[in-house]
Amino acid sequence: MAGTTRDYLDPIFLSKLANMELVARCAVEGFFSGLHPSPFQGFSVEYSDHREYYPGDEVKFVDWKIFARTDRLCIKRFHQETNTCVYILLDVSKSMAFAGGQAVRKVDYASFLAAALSYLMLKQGDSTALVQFAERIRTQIPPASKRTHLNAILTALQRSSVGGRTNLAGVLHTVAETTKRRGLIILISDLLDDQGDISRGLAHLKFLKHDVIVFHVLDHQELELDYEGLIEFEDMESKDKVRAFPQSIRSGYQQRVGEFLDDVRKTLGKNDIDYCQLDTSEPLDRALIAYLVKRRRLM
Amino acid sequence: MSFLQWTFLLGALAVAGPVLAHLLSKPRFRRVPFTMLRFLRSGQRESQSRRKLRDLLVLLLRCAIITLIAVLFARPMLHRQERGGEQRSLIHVALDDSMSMSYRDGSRTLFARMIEAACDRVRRAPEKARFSIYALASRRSIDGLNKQQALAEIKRLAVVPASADLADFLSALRQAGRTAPAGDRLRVCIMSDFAPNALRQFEQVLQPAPVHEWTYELIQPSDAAENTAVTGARVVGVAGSTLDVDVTVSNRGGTAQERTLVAQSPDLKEARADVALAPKEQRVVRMQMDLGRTFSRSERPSLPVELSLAPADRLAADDTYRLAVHVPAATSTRVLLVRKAQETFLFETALEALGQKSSASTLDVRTVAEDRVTSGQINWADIVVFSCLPAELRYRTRDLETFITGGGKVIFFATTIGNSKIAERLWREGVLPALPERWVEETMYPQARPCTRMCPGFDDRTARSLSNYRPDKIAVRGCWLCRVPAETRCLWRFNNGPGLLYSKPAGLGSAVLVNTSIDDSLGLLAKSSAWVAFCSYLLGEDQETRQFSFSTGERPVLSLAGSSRAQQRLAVVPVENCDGGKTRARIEGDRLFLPAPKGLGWMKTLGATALYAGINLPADETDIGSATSELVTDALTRAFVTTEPSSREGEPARASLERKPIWKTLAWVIILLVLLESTVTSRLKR
Repeated sequence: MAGTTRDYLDPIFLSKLANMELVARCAVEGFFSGLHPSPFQGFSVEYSDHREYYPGDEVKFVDWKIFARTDRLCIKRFHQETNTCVYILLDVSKSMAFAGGQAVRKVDYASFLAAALSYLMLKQGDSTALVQFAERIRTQIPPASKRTHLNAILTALQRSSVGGRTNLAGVLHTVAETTKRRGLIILISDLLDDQGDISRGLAHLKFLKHDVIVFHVLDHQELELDYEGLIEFEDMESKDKVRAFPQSIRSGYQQRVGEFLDDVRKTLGKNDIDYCQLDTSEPLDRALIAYLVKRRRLM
Repeated sequence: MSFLQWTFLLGALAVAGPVLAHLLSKPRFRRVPFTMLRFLRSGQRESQSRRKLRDLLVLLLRCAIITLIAVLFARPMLHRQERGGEQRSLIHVALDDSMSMSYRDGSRTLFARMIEAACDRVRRAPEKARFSIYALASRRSIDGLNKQQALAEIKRLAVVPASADLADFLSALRQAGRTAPAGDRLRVCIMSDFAPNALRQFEQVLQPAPVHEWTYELIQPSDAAENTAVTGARVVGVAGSTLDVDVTVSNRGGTAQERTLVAQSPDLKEARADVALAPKEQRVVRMQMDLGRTFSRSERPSLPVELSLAPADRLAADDTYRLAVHVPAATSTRVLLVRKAQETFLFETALEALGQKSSASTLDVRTVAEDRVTSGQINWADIVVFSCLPAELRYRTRDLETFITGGGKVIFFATTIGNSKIAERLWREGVLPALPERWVEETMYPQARPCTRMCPGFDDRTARSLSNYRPDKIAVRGCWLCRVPAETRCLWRFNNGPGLLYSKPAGLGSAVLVNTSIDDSLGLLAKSSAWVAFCSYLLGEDQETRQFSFSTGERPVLSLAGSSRAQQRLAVVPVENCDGGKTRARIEGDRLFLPAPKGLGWMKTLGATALYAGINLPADETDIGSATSELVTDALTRAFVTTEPSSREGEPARASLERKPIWKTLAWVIILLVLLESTVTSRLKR
């Protein structure tokens, strides 16, 4: 990791995020009050309205003050707001260590994003969990909503190291099977795995009623292939080598990458999954704000 | 298609270079870690195949360029069958633009008449005829002209101060005979006054040029020529303060002439002599020029003497003859002969003979016993001759060294005996050019000629005359095997290897070792008829007055013998050519090689003491009117062989095969290929 814990909590950066409200599309159950509207009524701390008492209602919900004033038995109803559980899935496979040109490594960029989101969620009172994975889950911090939980997440981010090949589909299935509560799944990855498998993994999550957001982190060079001269490209995960003359294949490469991104966008759109492509050469805050604005518009 | 210089096609083998480079070159790849290789792979396959294609394309282009350049140098000719088989004339017009053509015949010169006649001939030629114009004296030639171009080219010609040279013309004709389209008629027309030297060249042709038709036009004065010329001059010598020059004056015309011969030189009083010449008479007139009391030989070693006839006649160019006279700085050479007893008798006799031979210079010989020689006596001499290697030194070797570096010459003769320690000391101090180490006693013979022609202090002309005495027949009983330092040159060798004559230059002078005896004790050289010539060669050039006059076709070479030694030590000398242009001349040994003269006049070195060379017309260049039609016809019959165009083998009877040079097309193709190659290469880099 490039920075310290404080780097992820840069006040200027956070002040930009603090003015934004991240509203979950679907209400999930939670333990604490928050900004998220709840479909469940009766178990809440906020008054909603009254109704007449019918036999069978619990006596503890009878509003005795109204009975004293009107001599009628009324039941007090509450409109409850709950927090949601946010799972941040962070890809730390070897391909995430790529940094082209002057940009930061993809994993650093993704970590900054994860830290910022964690802070945002925890500030809203949401339970936040962090899962770092490569070919399998490497680090898992269970969900919690305490403010101090942020430190645990940031420390995990700070200590994380890249390695291993990407097995995104397997990890998504594992996460789907192990999460007990529905919530918001934030996947931060370069999605360099079989696209069908990824799609099936994400569909598994959606099937379990999770709300899923995918942050697709890519380096500028991965998008543009802005190299000069004769290059021998070496795959960071498989160590395969490809000799090429970037000048002559650039346009074709950009076309194929564009098609790949379009496919990803379409596949995720079909599954009602939010997708945001991030370029590591662009400022992180600008990318986040752009995403959050879009998200609020959706809400 | 055929090639005129097919050997250049071998240059196409150079395509092996790019092919090998293509096969051996390996691209250098920079390794970069990357992630999205799956998107590269298909593109990379495409890229590599495209790259290979481009590489191959570049290779093919380069090979094509090299091959085409080789083909271009081979001068390809495209053969084309012409429809109708119409015969075409290729007319080669040779025009004499030599100086004799400037003879004024009435109101016009012979040259103007010739130009007019040539233009008439061109105008009368068939419309489709192609012309080649040759200027015989200036050696200009232009091929493939149409009628208008040929007329314009002919009118551009002018007389040049040179003689007609037919070698290039005849060579071009032979070439044209080989390359002319089959069926075309090769016609030759020569227009000239056919001066003796031109006729001589026609007569001496060994390989006649094949042509289909030849003709000539003898351009001569309409009436008896009126031309007197100074055709030569020779310096007789300098007697006292008078320079005697024999001048040859020729009346080449048909009328008697009375002229005044004037000899002029800057700062000298001119000499005049009246000359009366009958038609075709040649006479030698001695001119005596007073050098004056104040004339300094050392300050003015070279005198430009201009000999001219007055008044001028119809051909003024040959009325003046330029003669450069080189007067030696000294007239006497002082020789100190160091001997033991009477062994130098033969050498002294030879010196006496040499002294009598030269009328202009004298040899002052002093003889001294080896044990009585002093430094003063050495300093008196120009040349010191030791009859043998010294057995003891009663003088300082430093004196000998100073004597040599100051411009003197020391000659040592060898004997079977000698003081080896003294010899080694002399050798170490640079006085002895080679150290005798081992005596070999066997019969041997000197080589016929010296090993090197040019050597300061030795006369090449004398060496040539010495070789006439056949030194290779003169037996010598033995010689020393010597240790020879790098700076010493072996000028003459024995047939079996050892040196007969070693010379080592030091400063302005030189030391010489003769590897045989001064008497007849070691062989027959001293008793042979070559002995006097050999001694003359040893002493160097005599102090004769020399003359330097050259004709326009010659390359002037001046002898620096007798001029300042400091000048001889220069490698390059600035000179002024006849046209006033400044250039440089090269010095090798004691010869000054001047550049080719540009016109008639004086060539001179630029410096404190100028050396002159007179440039004149060749002696018989202006002998106009001597040629007759019979002589010319006879000469041209030897120079040309007439053939018929239809007699060529394998040729259709009426078809005409045109051979067209395609070098221009090829050159453009090469340029386009070069541009294409650079474009493809730059695209490859992108």
